[in-house]
Amino acid sequence: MAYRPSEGRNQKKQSPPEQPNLVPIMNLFMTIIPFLLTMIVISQVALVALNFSSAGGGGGRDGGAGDGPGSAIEVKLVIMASSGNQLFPGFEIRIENEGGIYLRNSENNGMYNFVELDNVLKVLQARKNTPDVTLVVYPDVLYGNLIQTIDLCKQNGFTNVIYKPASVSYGSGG
Amino acid sequence: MRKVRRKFFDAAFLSITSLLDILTIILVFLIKNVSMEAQRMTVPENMTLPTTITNQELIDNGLTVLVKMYPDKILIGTDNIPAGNLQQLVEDASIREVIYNFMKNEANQIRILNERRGTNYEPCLLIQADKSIPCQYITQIVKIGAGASFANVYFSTLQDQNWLKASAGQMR
Repeated sequence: MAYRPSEGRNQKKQSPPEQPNLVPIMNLFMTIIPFLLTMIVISQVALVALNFSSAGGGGGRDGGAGDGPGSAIEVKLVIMASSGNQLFPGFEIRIENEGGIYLRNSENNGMYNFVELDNVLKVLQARKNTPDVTLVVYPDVLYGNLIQTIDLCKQNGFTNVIYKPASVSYGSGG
Repeated sequence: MRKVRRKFFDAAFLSITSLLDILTIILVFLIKNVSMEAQRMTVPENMTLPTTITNQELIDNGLTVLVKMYPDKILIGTDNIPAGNLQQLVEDASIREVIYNFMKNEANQIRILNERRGTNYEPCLLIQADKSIPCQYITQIVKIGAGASFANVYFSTLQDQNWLKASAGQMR
């Protein structure tokens, strides 16, 4: 008598589950990741916002460059335009109905005295408690110095910095 | 003589699945950071940005238009379109017109986008300038921007909490 073949004959040997071949994917990743890493510049880039009044003086935003209550304190950054005139390299801080505060640049290296400006702004903020400050900037002031002055103003609570380029006229004598 | 057969075991596989997971996470993170918007916030090559303690956020609905100002050239937009140099910016009206037209066009694009999608995006001017540039050139660019309906002006800087202390050290 013939017996039917055993079912066990058709059963395949149990093998461990097949893993997908990840090597090509790994190769791709290993190419892409260094490429992306080279494109990233790791540095803390910051932003400084600014209000910009019209160059003509009037009509600025948020109180603008007018003489309203918003511009009670005016930080004026002055730089020597030429020798022998009344301009001096440094800061001049004008306060409405009060005198001005003058901070001359260092005689050693001609650098702006930001430390002293910081101290003055702290005192002014404690006295006046206002967020508004108008920054009058002469054309030859360097951008780096302008930004650092704005930075100090914001650090000391003068959050609403209004930028107003100084109108300088270079006379031809007289 | 009796032959001794050595048993060969299956080579143990190093499971790279977990490594692949980590790489996938890193890849997503990197792609996010290397997006176009992030490109605008990186330091341009050969440019020294001024340092500040302050770091303000861009307004939520702001769309930036980028202007890069080098001592020897001006580049506008994310495509770095050349727009003359600093001297030409002051002296050559046609250069100012090129920059104005570009900014006006960008502002119009944002306005059209707002009309189509019902959004409220605002054009923001983002200036990346070398710290050694005199302010008169910055003023010119900001004036052109203001004329082209850019109410928000931002300056790119490098955050440095200690610049004031360093400045105090240099004063001595």
